Amino acid sequence: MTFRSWFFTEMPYPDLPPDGEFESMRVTLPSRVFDPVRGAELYERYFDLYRTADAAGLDVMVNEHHATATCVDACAPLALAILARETKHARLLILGNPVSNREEPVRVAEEMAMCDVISRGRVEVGFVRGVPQEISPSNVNPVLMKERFWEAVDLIVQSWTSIDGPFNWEGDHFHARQVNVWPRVYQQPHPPLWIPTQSASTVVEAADRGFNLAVILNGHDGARRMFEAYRQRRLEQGLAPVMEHQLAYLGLVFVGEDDAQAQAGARQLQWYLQNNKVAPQFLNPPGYQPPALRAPILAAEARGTALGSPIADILNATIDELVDRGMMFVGTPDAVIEQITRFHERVGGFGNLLMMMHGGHMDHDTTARSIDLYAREVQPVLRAAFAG
Amino acid sequence: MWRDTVRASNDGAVSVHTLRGVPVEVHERGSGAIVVFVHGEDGLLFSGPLIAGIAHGASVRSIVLPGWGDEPWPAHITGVDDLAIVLLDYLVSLPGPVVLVGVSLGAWVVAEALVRGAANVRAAVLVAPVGIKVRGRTDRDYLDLYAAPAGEIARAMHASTPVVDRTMLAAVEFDELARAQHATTRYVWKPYFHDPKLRRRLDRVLVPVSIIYGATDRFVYDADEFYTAYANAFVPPARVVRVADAAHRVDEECPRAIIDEIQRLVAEGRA
Repeated sequence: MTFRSWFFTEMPYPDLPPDGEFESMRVTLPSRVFDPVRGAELYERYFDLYRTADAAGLDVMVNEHHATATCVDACAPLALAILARETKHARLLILGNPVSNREEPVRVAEEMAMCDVISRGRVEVGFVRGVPQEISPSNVNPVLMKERFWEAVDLIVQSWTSIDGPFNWEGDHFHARQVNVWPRVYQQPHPPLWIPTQSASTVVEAADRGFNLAVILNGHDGARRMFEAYRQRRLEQGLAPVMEHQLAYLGLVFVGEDDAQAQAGARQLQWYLQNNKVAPQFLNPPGYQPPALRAPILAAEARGTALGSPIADILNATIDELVDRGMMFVGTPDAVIEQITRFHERVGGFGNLLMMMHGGHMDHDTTARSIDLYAREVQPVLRAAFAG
Repeated sequence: MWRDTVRASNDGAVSVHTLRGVPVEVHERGSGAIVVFVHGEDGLLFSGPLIAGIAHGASVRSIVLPGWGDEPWPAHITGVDDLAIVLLDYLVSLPGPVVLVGVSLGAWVVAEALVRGAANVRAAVLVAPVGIKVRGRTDRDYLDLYAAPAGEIARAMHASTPVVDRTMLAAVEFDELARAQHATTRYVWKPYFHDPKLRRRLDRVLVPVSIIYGATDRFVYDADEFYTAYANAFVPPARVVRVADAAHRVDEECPRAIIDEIQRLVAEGRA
């Protein structure tokens, strides 16, 4: 399988008030901060970038978040639908659908099926549990999220694969009557399925079901642990060995013509890390993780030593530190090739690099140059090196 | 010394009752007329002084609801109505009639049990009860514990500095608190801290009911209006005791008011 590189922007709304004037980027930042005219310009920029990535020969990825300026792609299926028409060759990964938070999984199945057909079979469907700070906006009981997640996934997959007439579903969390999804998905029996995770229990589920596993910004140590756990589980269960195309890693990527240009781009990418303030009450809701894991966090909160950000450990890291830890790949084409090759080796191999190549105020031309350099000078080398 | 008072809830006999397949831990303390105590969101973690006070003149049976404590949490116990049925199953096992006491979420469970025709109950005391909705669709009745800053929650719950310093809990107590919050979330998330049908069912309750609440309770919006509405939903209306120096956690801040009310009801039962 070919080593794939996926361009991705969180679609930020970067024009924020001074940091001291708001408590949280998530959940409570008033939407009056969002200027719709400016927003329209930004959406245009972001979809142009996706078209640029497609034309350059990269694959593309979209995600969604809610009630936040870090990501104004609030409806990833809409973005996917636009890209299904606006791109010609790229594989289209949605990573993903927060199906615990959606009330109608069959509707998700329909959205994905439409995009798959419109794009002539280029869609790859991810399912995400969602981050803790989006529990309030979705109003889904955090204790039930995992149960809802897997029931929704089962219902969606059955919706795609039941092609001989309607079926009914009366589960613990979802009820659906006369399920008969039109259009039928383009890819048979269904598009490739993905799941991102930070937790060992989800790795087990992903391995058992053969979902592609994406590890996000965990650095080489975290990625190696997750990939190894996935491989080990498949082995233990007597399942087919893991192929590299089933494993993915998401990092920040910027390619410059020289070091100075690369460093400047990397500093703009850091916007994402440095502007992700979350009010503490949204970070650790009961039920999102088991009580045994939450208890020490409660103790830290009581003593005033709790972390103030979901990515507190890398909030103020330097670019060099981020590169060393395998969270950022930045430099000239040769330097980026060397960094990714080293990372690939350290984690035991993987087949997909999900690349956040845009952040904050980064303009179209700056991002497009980086995309172009990556596509022309980095991707071919990696594809040759990691062919298998 | 606070740690001794916390542990006091665990003094006395502890037994596990299996109620139609549901294992339920019961702490028994004191002797005399039976008072059944149903804990609130924090389980029995901060109820020691109240339970010890009640036990001076009564036999207190503190039931640990499924989800709290160490017993397995059966998968079919998913709502406050299930908790009410567990309580009903426990009540029929007792030589009645008893005084039934519930605190906050526990008072909601008591109310749900009462509207289902609780047997063996002489009277009920609802301490800062939740479970009903009195305001409109864009106005919550209860502070959003999942969105309010910690300081605001503390001020809503306590009129003054809590008797138990939360920063000083032992690791095992933080474990208990985490389990308690997990269980609470399972039961109260949506509809938030209420059953839309409960208010209209309260007139089915046939035993005397007392409602005790703290004057500075800011967990409910407009405590006087809310608890008056709650009391007036019973026929005849519930007796109301307003405690001046307490917020939502009356059981922690002014256990004496609750003990006095229970003793009054126990004495009435003897008369």
